[in-house]
Amino acid sequence: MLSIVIFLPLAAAALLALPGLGARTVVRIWIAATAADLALVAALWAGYGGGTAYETRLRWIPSARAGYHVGVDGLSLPLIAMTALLFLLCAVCSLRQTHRVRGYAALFLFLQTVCLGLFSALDLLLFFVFFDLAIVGMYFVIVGWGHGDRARSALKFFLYTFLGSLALLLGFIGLYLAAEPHTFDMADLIANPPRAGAAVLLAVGIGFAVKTPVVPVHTWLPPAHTDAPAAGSAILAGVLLKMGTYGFARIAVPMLPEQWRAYAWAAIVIGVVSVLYGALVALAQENLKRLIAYTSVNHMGYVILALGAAGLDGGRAARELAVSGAVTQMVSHGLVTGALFLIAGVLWDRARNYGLGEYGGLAGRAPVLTGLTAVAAFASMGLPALSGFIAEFQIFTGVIGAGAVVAGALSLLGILITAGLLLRMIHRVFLGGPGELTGRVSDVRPYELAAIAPLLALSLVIGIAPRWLLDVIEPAARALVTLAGR
Amino acid sequence: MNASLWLLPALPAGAGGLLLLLRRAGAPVAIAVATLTLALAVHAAVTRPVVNARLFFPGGLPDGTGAGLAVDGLSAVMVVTVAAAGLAVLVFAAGETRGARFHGLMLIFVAAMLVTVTAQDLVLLLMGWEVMGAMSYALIGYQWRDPARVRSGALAFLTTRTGDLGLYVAAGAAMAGGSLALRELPALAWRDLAAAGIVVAALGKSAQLPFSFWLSRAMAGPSPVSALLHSATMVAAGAYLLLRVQPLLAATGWAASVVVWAGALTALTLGAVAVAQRDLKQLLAASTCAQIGFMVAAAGVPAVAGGVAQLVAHAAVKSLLFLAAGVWLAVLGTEDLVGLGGAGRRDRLVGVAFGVGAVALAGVPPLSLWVTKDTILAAVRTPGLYAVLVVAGLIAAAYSARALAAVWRAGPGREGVREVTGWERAPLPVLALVAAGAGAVALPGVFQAWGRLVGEPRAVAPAWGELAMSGGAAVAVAAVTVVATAAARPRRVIGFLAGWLYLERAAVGLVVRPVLALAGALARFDDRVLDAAVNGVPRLGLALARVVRAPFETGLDGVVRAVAAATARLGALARRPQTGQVHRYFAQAAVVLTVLAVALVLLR
Amino acid sequence: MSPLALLPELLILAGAVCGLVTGLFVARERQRVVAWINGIGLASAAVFAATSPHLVAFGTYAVDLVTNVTRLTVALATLLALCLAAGRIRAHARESELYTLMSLAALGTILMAGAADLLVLVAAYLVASIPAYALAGFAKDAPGTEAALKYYLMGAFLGVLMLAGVTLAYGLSGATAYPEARAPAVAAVLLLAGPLFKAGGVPAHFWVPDVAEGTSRPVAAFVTTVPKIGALAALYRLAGSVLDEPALLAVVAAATMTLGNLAAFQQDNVRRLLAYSTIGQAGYLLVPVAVAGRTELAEPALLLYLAAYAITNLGAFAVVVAAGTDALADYAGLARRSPWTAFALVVCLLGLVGTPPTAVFAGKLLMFAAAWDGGYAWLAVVAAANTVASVFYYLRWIRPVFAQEGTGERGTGGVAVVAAVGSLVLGIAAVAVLLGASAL
Repeated sequence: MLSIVIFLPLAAAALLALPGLGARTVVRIWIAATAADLALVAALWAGYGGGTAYETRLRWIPSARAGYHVGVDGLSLPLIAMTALLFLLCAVCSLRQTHRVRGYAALFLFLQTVCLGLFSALDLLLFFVFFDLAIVGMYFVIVGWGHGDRARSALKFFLYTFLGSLALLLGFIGLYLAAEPHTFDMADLIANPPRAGAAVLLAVGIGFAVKTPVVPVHTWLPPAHTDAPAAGSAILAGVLLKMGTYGFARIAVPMLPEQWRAYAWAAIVIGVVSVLYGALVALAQENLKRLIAYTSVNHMGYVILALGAAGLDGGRAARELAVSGAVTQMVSHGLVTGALFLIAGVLWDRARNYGLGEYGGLAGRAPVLTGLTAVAAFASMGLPALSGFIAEFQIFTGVIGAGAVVAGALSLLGILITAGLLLRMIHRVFLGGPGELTGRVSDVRPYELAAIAPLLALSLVIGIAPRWLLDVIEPAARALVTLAGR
Repeated sequence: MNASLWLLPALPAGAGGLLLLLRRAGAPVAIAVATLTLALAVHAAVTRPVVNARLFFPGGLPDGTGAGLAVDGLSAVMVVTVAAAGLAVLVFAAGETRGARFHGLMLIFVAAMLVTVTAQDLVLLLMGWEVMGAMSYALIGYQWRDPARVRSGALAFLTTRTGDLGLYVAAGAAMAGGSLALRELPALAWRDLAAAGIVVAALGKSAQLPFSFWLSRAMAGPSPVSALLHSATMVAAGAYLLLRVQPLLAATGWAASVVVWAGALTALTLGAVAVAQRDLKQLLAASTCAQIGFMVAAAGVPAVAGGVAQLVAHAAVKSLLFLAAGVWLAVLGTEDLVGLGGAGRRDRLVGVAFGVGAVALAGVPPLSLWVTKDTILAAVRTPGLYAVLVVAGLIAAAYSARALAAVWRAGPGREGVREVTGWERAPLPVLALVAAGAGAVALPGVFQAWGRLVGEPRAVAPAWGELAMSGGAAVAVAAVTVVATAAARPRRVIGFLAGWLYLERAAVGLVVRPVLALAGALARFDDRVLDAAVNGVPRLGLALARVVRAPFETGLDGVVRAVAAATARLGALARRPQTGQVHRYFAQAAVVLTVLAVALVLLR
Repeated sequence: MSPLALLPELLILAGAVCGLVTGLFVARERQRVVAWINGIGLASAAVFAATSPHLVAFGTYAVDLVTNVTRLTVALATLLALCLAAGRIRAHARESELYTLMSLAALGTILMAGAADLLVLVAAYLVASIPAYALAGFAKDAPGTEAALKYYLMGAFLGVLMLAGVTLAYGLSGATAYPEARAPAVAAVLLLAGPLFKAGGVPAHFWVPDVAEGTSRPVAAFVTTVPKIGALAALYRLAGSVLDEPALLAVVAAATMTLGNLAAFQQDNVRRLLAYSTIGQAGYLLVPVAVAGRTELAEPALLLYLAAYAITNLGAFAVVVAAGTDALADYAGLARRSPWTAFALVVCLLGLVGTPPTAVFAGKLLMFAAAWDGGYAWLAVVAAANTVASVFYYLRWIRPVFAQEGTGERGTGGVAVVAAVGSLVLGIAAVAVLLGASAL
């Protein structure tokens, strides 16, 4: 079942290789495949009963205890669902795509398999394969369908994240060699954490930190976002960044608990710096996509901060709250930032410009777009009744409650600065008098609305009634805190 | 039955959300929903429902009470006040021509305040609290084409959110103790941190010193917004929260004193600011800060019963005054005190209603604020504090008298832009009645019951002597002010006071500008140092690559060119590489091997 | 000892000899049959090597897993190269010679891998080298002749050094057979010269770009791929017994990969680019050699990487052969003109980077693990940094392939696609086996 979910998009991509398909047919197949996948994920969710479920362990060699090993739990299931939804909406948003649709759709379907596979993988090698393929897939998306100085941005993206992935590979090898018996199986590694040194945590940490990204290894992110197509940016920010934070939660914390506790302060410092630095630099941006990109640095900083707090020895309930907040933040950020990038894509589609100063007063010409942006911005700044609050409240409360009062208080400034910069963005683009390019912007088209609105609606649902989500996340958070405390 | 409590905030919030989505039939829906909400509020005030609902279950906390919504005595008073003020203001707003967006936002604003005053725990409190802030932003900046108004909204939002961060800290401190319930706060291990956070948040929301300036900018919003924001929501939320957590303030020892003095000083200085204003709405805004100061002080004294009475009475008075001011702004197009000369005589209903409100604000007997303020004073035991509050009360008489005199004196009688509509007039008499009579709760006999209702059974009503003295003094000050309105005043003090103590200038200069400068500097650092360093790596690599390639490429290219030139003779070709480059390869290979061998010999 | 143990070598030899003889009697247009004969020799050798491993060792020649995998890899790689050449050289006056020379060079390469005696190694070195020199100058044109000459001169010089090393080792230890022979310090450096020349490692790598550019494209594919296999296997054998200089080999490996990768930057001639890339790959291949005997992972790492490298590198060269051009700019828009060739190119280049799920990824994974486990974690870090650097020039080639416009010929590269698919299949199979074996 889970394997079908993972590989269905790839099968659809193979279907696209059939000759003679028109552009519209290609997009229809694409949407149908992603919708079917989302339906399957919904079925997975409905049938999920806690713990690690839907496990598949293929044994190639009789004596081997592992092989192709996938499964979902409370950490991965929300991310899988978010991934499936985001890919469907990216397909919807690309309804009018005319430029080399076939390759575009195939790449996105390929990326979907890769992302779903990564979140389901329970074997380090499998995880790494998907981790690396995501880089390759996204490289081609940027270089093939991006704009601006795309070749340079894509190259930088590839080189930088590839460097991270190789550090990660070295870390995985370190884990493998430190484990007794040697194994790449994540379940085994979590059950019997290897006695690995700090170097392994460093290698794994660098790998995930580049992907997350945290300050100071974040500089690949703004150009990659700026020059990627809208759907590519949405996937990059919404799903690919989560690979880093998910990796921390899935691999670094439970497999290296002693080291994680010893270096929890480092994660907390890096988290706080990312939060403040990302927010402040975003405040000074003049380019919409760069602005959103830097807010991602800020938002991912909260996740790192919360996972760092999981390694403290403060109150257990507070640490669980922090971890639960971190996972919620991953989902929330995927939804909200995905929406923000799709909105940026609408502006680019109309006027081919991301400059904040070129627009103004769009609320008159595009009231629906303005409303969507306002909701997305408020969700991004952590306003209650939207998902960002549920995530960030848990993180702040958990971090402060776990004993990191100064770190928590400093990172709180992040939501203030984020509020300031998002309001400034709204003022400059949507309110006030008209700007140079305002006349070229029309309101969202139905298919664009159909792509953006569900993300925000889900954010609202999570913000108002989050229990259905937290019921899945909290047991996993509890388990993770137990694992980190060994 | 209890579950219907969810409906109290959900109804206006849901209706508001629908109005925002559908954008039609704003006014009728809003009035209907506000009426229903008031009915629900009254029902809740009578039945006192409790719903326990926990949002987060970290550490497998027991699914106990102390989370969710509940209506106790204090909340009962608050929900009715909020719903009633909301209805009054929305009825008024129906008389203006505003879009459904406006009514939708107002309904959500009211809903957020309802959540705030019924929340049992910090999570729900914070949710209502912050949504209220966001709605205030949207409402102040309602006329979005005007950048100044939008900026005012953002300023109000960001200033109050700065304070809100305190609530997050308080929640963290509460979490360390294992419970987010408000009633558990006094018993927390980290109660000092929690109290500090809550005090900061409340002072920010209530526009107390040093946050007062945002309320001045909040005047950029439409008048109904001001009327709601200054009466039963937003600024009242801070005072409510402090009154609610009074046991916590008392338990810490220091927090109560901080609150008392913050409130008292605000009442004093912002009262003076109000006197110095030349704009009616600015005067009223500053007076709000000053009046809320009494409630904030009441939370620390403690005089909870008096504070709540003051809150209710002030809500009626202030919404009345702002609605009347709104009428004149809409009809006459001005809110300048000089320009409003004679405004009170144009439409007697509006004029009289405003008069009632202003007289009540002045603390003139027998109207409401005269009594409620004295119930707070009656509980004060410190002479210095008592003196400050008494002076603040007299200043209130002064600014109220100024406003009253300005609108009632004989004036040129400006030409009206339009007529006052019936919807606009409808809420004024009702509010005037409440403004006049709300003091009845502080009557001896009634006051004890009131105290029991809001959770302070031993509340002491003011003595008749005290009441008579303060009433008399207020009348005297008001009279003097009316007579001496035109008297000369020293300019610099006026500039300082009229400019709201230059608080905004200080905030912008000391916080906003440095942060923006820091942001710019960091962005440049990001581009020119971090990113440049990253880009430097491949550049370095390319430079290295050139060095590394040199032995292969330069020589070979030359050879290839030469080879291409000499196409005919292979014999010559055979010699060229010999004389040309291969010996260099040999030499290099030999040198490297020698170096390796020598290194190997030497290093072992 | 049973002569059957040497059957693969004999089969290749027989194919070469029969082919040569047949070529004398067959008309020029029908010399393709010689290719078939050589091909059958190679294929049967491969089949034999794959199906019946004779794990025996006799005094001077070892038939073990290393030899068998080398046999298989060399035979299959040569077969691919043969196909590549056969398509281009049809009806050439000396068509049959080409095939025969390839077979003989392959034979020499296998012998290098199996040599368990320094003298056999020298003989195998000569058997592997001399046909290769002739191949390099086969076209008899100016650049080819120049390339052959350089190739020969370098080979002769470094061969002499190797002989000196053998002499020294014999003098010092009194033996030439592997377990007994010892080559300390200077002898070790001299001994390395020969195999490093064949492997294209620093400092014996100078010939690689010149030959790759100067000779014909199929031959370039052959000489940058096949001899390396035997040479590295020979080095592995040496490092496991005769040489005990892991630090020396680690330094050589690091230098080789760094120099090769750096030199490939900004290279606009794809053949030179690939040549430098093969030097870089030789550096990675030297990593398991350096840790030979220190970790169980060294042997699988080397063998898997060798096979992966051979197929992937041949695939990349096959694309160059199919496209018929060396200028990087001419690859603009290849994806529109010939999508399958472009697919093969992308797979092979990403494979050379080491992207999963291609075969080189699995090799690299084992290589990293071997380095870490063998106590040379810094070498793994250097290799990782080099891998990232290599992405830069591989992507420089990949990017124009998807350009909208661009002129150039349509080329069909059947061999390229076969190699690319082979790389993927081998990679997936290897990853699958690794996944399965991971908990062993």
